[in-house]
Amino acid sequence: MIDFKKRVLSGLWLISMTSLLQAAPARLDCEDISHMKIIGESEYVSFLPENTRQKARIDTGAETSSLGIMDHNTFERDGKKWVHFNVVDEMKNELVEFERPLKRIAKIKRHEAEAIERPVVELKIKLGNVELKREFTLADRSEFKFPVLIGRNVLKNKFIVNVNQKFSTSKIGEQ
Amino acid sequence: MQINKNIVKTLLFPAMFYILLMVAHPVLADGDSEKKTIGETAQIAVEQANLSYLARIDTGARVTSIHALELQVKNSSDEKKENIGKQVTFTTENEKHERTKVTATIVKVSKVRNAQGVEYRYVVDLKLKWQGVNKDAQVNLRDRSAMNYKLLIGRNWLSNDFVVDVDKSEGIIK
Repeated sequence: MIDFKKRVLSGLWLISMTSLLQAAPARLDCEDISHMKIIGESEYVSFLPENTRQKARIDTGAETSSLGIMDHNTFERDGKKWVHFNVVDEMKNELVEFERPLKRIAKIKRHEAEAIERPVVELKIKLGNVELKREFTLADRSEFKFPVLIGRNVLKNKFIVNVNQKFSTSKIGEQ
Repeated sequence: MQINKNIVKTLLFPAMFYILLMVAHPVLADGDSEKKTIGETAQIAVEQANLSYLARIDTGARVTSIHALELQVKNSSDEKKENIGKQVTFTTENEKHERTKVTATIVKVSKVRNAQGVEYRYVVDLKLKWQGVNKDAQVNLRDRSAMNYKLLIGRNWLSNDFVVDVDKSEGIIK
């Protein structure tokens, strides 16, 4: 009789525990999104290898990501066009110099205003524990509330946005 | 009899524990699991307009915005703030150029700063429906004639109920 009791007990415990383990993760619409990271409406993003950390607005409305810079100039290196630009690191309170090959010039259409041209460069970023290289449009930083806008070219196939969280990928910036 | 009692006991306690777990799941699970996943664009119906829009889902925008023309406020005052609580009638149009007139109560006047300076916009409550989820949200009224998407979904509608996966889309307007 004791044997029977034990068997029933352990069986039920097993069912309970496995159901607990299975139910918690991956219930989001039953899709396979296990490779996707959930990020908030704003996050810290690091630019590598300069390793400057910037506040970013996660913006599904923007196609290309953009970085607010202080100033820039283009120059030639080995017959190719490069861009030199400065980024303000607010946390360290310093200017960080960048040099990257110019990928293209983006024409930004504006409503009721003239189109503006902005240089586009490829930048390596770290968002959470994901590192990736994507195109960024360089813009005058005074135009944004956040120095970085993370658009769909970074989010695609990598991140899901939950606007109910903020700075969720880094403990230091948690609010 | 004694045996039966024991079986009931041994079955009852684990069973109760199991039921408790089932009930507790939504609490134990990450809050996101209760949210629906919406794409970079979505077909959203606006109940008051009886129209469907291909909307841009924009986590960069705080407030939802709809295309509105020919705004008329009943007993309008010159001072926009004094129109809060009054009825506004406006014409709205989706990307297929289907138009309707909507009347709603002004719940707020929001100040918007953009490249062209400061602008004041009326805010009304509208019911927006996507895939069976019906949700009220404050929506600001503006002329979106120059914009591809006549309905822009901001964080105020997404909050608590949706997460955004830009790999999904219900159409693109170019």
